Amino acid sequence: MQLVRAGHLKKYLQVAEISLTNRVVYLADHFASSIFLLLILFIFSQLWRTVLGAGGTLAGLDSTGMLWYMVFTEVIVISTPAYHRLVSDEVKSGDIAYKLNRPYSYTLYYLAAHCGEFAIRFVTNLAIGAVFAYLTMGPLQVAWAQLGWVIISFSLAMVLTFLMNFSLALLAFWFEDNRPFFWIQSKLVFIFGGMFVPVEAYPAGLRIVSYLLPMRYGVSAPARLMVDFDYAFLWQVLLGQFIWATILSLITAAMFQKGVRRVHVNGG
Amino acid sequence: MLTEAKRVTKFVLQYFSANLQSAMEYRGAFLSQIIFMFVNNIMLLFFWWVLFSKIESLNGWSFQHIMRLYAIASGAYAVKAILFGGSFSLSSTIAEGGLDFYLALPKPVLLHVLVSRSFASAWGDLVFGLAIFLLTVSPSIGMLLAFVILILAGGLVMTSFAVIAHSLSFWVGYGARLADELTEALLTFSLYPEGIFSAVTRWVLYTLIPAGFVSYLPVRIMDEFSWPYVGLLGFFVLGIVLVARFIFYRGLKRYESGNLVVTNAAG
Repeated sequence: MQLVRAGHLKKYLQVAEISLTNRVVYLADHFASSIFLLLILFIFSQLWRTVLGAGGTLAGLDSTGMLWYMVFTEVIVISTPAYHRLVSDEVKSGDIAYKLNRPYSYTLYYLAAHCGEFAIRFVTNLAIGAVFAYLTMGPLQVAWAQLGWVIISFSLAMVLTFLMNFSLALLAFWFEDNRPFFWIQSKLVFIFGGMFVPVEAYPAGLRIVSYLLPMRYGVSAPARLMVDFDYAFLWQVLLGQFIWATILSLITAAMFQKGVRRVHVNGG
Repeated sequence: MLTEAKRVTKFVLQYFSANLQSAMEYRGAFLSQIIFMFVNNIMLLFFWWVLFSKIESLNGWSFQHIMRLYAIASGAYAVKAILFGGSFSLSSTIAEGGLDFYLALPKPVLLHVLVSRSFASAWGDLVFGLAIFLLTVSPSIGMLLAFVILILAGGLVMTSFAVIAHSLSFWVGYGARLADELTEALLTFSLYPEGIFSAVTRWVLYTLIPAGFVSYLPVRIMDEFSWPYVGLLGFFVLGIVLVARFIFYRGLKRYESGNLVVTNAAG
C-alpha cells in the first residue's frame, strides 16, 4: 500500500467526493430501497415493546434503546457499499492490471470511494431510520458533548468494514469463486456483529468470541456507544478498532503485494 | 374437470422433474447451495435462541413455536421457489415482452410462466423446514402429511400474492421493485410471531399482506388442530389463487408484445 503524502490526499478526497456525488444523483432510487429498513424497524418496534414493555431491559437497554441500537447497526450494514464485488471482478478478469499503472494507490482509491458512498448512504438511511424510531419509540438521549468520540468510532467502523471486504475481495487472486467467503462473513457479521441484539446479551462463550473478532467493532460497538455512551466502553472500543484496523491493513497490504505478482496480462 | 386437474398436475410435475434434473447436472453446486441455505436459515434462528434464553414466552409463543413457524415459512417459500420459480421474475417477463413465448404455446399461460423456473437453493429451505419440523413434533406419517399439506397451502398463498404484486406491471409498466418489496414484506412478516403485533397489524397480516395464512394459522393448526381453522385456510388459499388468476388474465388483455428479440428454448 502506498503511503499518502499530504499533497496526494487531495486526489483521494476528490475520489470520495465523486463517489458521494454519484450516489446523490440516484437519491430517489436510494430512498425507495430504504423500504426494507422501515419494514424491519417496524417489526422490531413491536417486538421490543412486547418483550421489554415499560420497565424491562436487555443488555442494559430498554425498548427505546434497543430500537435505536438497531437503527444504527442496520444503517451501518445497509450503508456499506459493495465495491468488493467490483474489486473481485477486476482481479478475476485481469482488468486490475490496467488500474495498477495509474497515478494512485489501488487500495486507497477504493477506500476513498467506499468512504464517499458510505457517508451519503449513512446520512440518508439514518435520517429515515431516526424519523421512524423517533415517531414510534421516542427520542434518543444523545450524549452531545461526547458525540465527537462517537463519530470517530463510526469512522473507524467504516474503515474496518472496508478492510474486511477488500481483503476478502483480494482472495480472488487465489480462488476462482470468492463469494462463499463473503457469505460466511455476512453470517459472522449477523451473529458476532450483534445486528439485532447487542453482543453483551449473548451467553458468556459467544460474547468472548465476539469481543475477539472484528465484526463487533465494525457494527455493534459503535451503535452501542451511540445509544449508551460510557467512557470505559469508549476506550475499549477504540482500542479494539485501532488494533483490528492495524491488523487488517497489514493483511490487506501483504495480500495485495503477493496477489499483484500473480497478475498476468494476456495480449497487453 | 378431473381430467383437466390431472393434466395440470402432470404438466407441473413434468416441469418439476426437468428443473430438478437440470439442477442435478451440476451436483456439487446443487449440494453446496442446499448446505449454504440450510446454514443461512439456522443463523436466523440464532436471534430467537438468544432472546428465549432471556424470556420464558412471548405472548404465548415459545421457542418451540418459533421453530415451527420457521419450518412452515421456509417450507412454503421452498414450494414457491421450487415449483413456481417463475413468480419471482413475473414483472420482468411482462415488461420485457417475455410472455410472447408462452402465448404461442397450447398451455395455460400463467401456470406455464410460473413453473418454467426453479431455484435449486430452495431445496435447502425445504430440508431445513423438514428438519426443524421433525425436531418439534413426534414424527409420524400423519404429521409428515400435515406438514406437506400446510407448506403447499402456504406456498400457494405466497405464489398467488407474488402473481398479484407482479401483475401490477400490466398497469404501471416496470413494477419489479414494488413487487419485490411486497413479496419480501410477506416473507419477512411470515418469520415473526403474530404475538408481537398489535391488533391493527394483525388485521393487515390476515388480509392485505397475508402472512397469517402462510405461517401463523398453519402453526396454530399444528398446535391446536380444529376443522374450522383448516376450513378457513383452505377457503383463503382457494380465494387468493382465483383472485391472482383473475388479475393476471385481466392484465393480460392489456399486454403489448415487446420488440426485444430473444431466443427461448422449450424444456
